[in-house]
Amino acid sequence: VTATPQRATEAASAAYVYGVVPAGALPGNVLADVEGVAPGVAVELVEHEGLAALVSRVPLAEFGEEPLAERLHDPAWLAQRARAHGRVLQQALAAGSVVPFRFGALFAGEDDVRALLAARGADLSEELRRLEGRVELGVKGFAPGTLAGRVRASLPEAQQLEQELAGLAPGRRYLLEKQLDGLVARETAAARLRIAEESHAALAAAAVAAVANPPRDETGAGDEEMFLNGAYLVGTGARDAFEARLEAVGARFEELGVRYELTGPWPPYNFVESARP
Amino acid sequence: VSTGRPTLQEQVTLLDLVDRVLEKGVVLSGDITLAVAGVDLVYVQLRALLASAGTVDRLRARRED
Repeated sequence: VTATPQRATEAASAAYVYGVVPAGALPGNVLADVEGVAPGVAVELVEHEGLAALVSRVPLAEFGEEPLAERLHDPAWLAQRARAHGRVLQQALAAGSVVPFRFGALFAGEDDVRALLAARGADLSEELRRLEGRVELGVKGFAPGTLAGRVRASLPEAQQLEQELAGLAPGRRYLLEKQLDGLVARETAAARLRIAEESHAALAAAAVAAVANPPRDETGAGDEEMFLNGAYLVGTGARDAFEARLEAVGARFEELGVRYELTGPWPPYNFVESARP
Repeated sequence: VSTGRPTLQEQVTLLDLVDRVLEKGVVLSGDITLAVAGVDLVYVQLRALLASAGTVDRLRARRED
């Protein structure tokens, strides 16, 4: 690097942005005890025309292009910084509406953050109005490994194949067993999809907006498989009604061994436009 | 009870958090941002790692039941 000493000092830190809130919405003490995405850094507000960005000054030694590219591949570092990002936004959510940014929004300085608020002010203000008094709730649904057995027992076609199997020689039997396994696997997948669609539709009807994210099958317990990974935008006054709806959905599929997990309230990560030109 | 090691619930919570913080939220592009690149790719790697660690813990927890 051939920067002059003065430039090097100016460039020694960058402005990291967590998200945007309405100006004046956050009492100063709300952010006083929150640590930012770098150890020991504070979270401050950069205001411009009715909007306030949640900002930390972060060292370029850690967040500069090259060090960042390296650190992003360190899972422990990334997990810790992602947690910090989430903590700051959670704190903001407790005080009012917030437009959450994705991890990693870095600006050269506070003037650039103000330029952002000026350039995107109309969109951001509208988004904040839309999100006011609303939170994101997450619902994950898990189906047990025993679902396949239930599907098999309930399919007349499978029952018939099983009966045919009983009297067959091993070679012929093998082919028919494959056929039976394929049938049960297909029908089980279809059953999971039906439960997912019905659950999501019922929950979405109790929410202002809803997103069905792809299920993450690795996060179930034991042989469980995730079939629903939904996010729901819910008015704070409608949370009890949403939870009652979730209980009703749970009761409807309880006999299949299906279970649901409720998470949140989250800042509305799933309900902001994820990409802006 | 704090054991210094993340509990199963903490691990699951971290997965939920990472799904949001690294994959959702407003993404800004253009001249004013210094860097946002690369997060999409590392998200996939981090998630796979966390999920496999979570699975291991879960299996262990079931054995100890």
